[in-house]
Amino acid sequence: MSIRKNSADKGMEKWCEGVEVDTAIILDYISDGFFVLDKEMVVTCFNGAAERYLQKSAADVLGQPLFDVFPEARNSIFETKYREVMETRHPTAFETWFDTPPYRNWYEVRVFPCRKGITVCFQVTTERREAEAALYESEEWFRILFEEAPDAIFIEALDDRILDTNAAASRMLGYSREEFRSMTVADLQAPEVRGEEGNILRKELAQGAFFEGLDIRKDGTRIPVEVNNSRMHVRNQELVLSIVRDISDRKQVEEELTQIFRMSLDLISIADINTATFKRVNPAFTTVLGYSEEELLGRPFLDFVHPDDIEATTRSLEEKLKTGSSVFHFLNRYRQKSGGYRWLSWVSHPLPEKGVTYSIARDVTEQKRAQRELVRLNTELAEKNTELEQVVYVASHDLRSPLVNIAGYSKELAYAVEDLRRVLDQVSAAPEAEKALAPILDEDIPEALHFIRTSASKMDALLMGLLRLSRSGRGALKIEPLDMNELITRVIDSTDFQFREGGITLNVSDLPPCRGDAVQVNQVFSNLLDNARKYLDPRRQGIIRISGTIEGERSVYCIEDNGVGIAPGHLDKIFEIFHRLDPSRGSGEGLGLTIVRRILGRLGGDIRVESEIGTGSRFCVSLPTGETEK
Amino acid sequence: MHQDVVILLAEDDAGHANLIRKNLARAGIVNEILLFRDGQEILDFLFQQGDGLHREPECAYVLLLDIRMPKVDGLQVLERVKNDPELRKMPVLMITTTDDPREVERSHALGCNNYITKPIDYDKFVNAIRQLGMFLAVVQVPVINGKTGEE
Repeated sequence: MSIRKNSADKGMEKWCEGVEVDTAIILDYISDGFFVLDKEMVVTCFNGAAERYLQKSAADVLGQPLFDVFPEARNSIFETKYREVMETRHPTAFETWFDTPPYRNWYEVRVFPCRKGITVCFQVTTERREAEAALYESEEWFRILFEEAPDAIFIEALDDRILDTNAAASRMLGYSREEFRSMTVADLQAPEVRGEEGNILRKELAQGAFFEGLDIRKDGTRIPVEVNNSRMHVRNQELVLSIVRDISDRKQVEEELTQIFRMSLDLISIADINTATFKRVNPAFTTVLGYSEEELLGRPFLDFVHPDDIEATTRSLEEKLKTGSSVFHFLNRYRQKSGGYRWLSWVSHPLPEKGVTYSIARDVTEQKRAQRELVRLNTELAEKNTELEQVVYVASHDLRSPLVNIAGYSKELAYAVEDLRRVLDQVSAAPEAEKALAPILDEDIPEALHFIRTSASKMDALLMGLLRLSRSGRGALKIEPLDMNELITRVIDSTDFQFREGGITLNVSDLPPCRGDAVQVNQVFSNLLDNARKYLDPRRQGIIRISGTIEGERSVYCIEDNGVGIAPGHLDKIFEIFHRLDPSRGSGEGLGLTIVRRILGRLGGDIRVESEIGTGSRFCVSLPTGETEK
Repeated sequence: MHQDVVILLAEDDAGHANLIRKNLARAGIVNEILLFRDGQEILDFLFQQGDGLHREPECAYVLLLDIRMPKVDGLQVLERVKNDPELRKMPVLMITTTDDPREVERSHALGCNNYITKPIDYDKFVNAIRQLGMFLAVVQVPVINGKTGEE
């Protein structure tokens, strides 16, 4: 409309001299720019499109030399071409970029010789060219995508011929694009999988397919692949787009996992938590329970659970697994095919959104059996121990009863002998008889009675010792932190007179605390001090040292004397029951160190001894320190 | 102690019984002494059961009781006696070879009136029995009537 208006305004004759009015109107309407130059390059015609493209009105241009109106175009390709046609009278066409504002554009120009001079038709093609460039660029982009895709891409015809491939395909299988183009899909498939589901000729795919296959490289090696095929229509042609991914790494990981799954001694399973059935089980199930995989899969697992464990198993399933909580160390019994039961300890992790649970069970039957056996042995041992203590107790009691009689009647006998002697003194017997009776009454009988009595009292001492020993093994221990400085002071106080009597020097250094039973520990140190005192060397001043240190988690106390010492060969024997190194030294029944070792055994302590004959002995007792074993 | 009080001695060891008897006599105790050789015999006597001798009603007794005896031991006898509302008035003295703290404790818990150990050392034994004699000389022994709570 604007053109018409424009044309009307300026008048037909004015914009194009010497052209028929009808033609002029048509020319004014066309979308190409159109103008006519006479031989002097003066504009004689200038249509509406030219006005718009070149931003000059016909009135300004008509009658003017073109390059006066557009000085920017002087010496440009435009002037050259126009003059060329003007002279040669041969039409020409060219396309050019004009770089001077405000005319920066692509121009497609056709120049014809005409009667007056030349006729010029032109179009501004900048937009079209940009669209073409964009199109070109976008095709390039898809080419790059195709080439650079990490997955191999094959374009295949329905008859299985390979039409195109990308760089990844060449990298993956080792063939060049040209080589691929002379091959068929079947050439790439490993014969062993050819014909398997999904590996059928790709043209047979109705819509598409997704499957795993095995391809052969140019070098003959095989490569596990994942193939995603889809059908496409391109220019009335049916093609297959096949995207092939190398899954060697994934396959390897899968194989490793499968290997572990198969090798595991534990029972690994995947179960459906809604139907409570096995979906997958590993061979350990067969090894442990004896059922084949087929006998287990799809079967409710409660069918295999011991009747007494069904309730707990159901509860664990309902309350834990179905609510998404993992189960740890759940114990139940599974029936073997042979009819026996195995104790299984389960760890199970459910994925409720998938409706499955992943479980690992360990056969703990032997462990349970060992535990029961241990408990049984412990009970048996405790019974034996009680029995033994009872034996010791009864024996020492019942053995003492006859001793009361032996001692009692030997004394009664002594009284009787005294009475007899008094009677004999009163009656006068024959001198021979008196001479004969004297050694009997004064020596033989008293001697015999003496041995009977001393033996009885020695036996009594032994029995009392046995009784004490049997008592040291029982009674509840009260384990508490012990201030050893205080405890040793009490031990010394109770035996102080013995030390003063013997003129013994006693050195006690600061002692670390420990944990133990006060009464029992007191007994230990009383016995050790008593021994140290008893076995001092009478030829020199007795010195007894008590010291203590902490060694790691143990408090170690040493009682050191300068006594007679113990011969190396006797060191092992001193802890033996009733063993006395030197029975002539004071009283005692040879139980002191036996009791010491027994008490320390109950308190988690230990004792060791170092000694040198003639120099002295050193007993070191270790007990748990006060800081640990809270 | 009144002359009429009868000393009941339950002791399975005849030697011990004899020594006790001798030394009680030396300590000036001249009361009648009845000897029982096990726990069952003394129970039969006290509870007036079985074929043997039964106790007389309205009579005063002191019981000297050994612990380790055949059939029924001294602690069981002590328990039966002290659980009987009538017999429990009777003084019971444990005389035994053991000084096991558990048995001493148990005897006292059951209500024994005294606990004497029989030492092997005869001088100490004699001394212990002499002290028993002194105890018996001063103790007031109640008369036990004919009925026992158990019957």
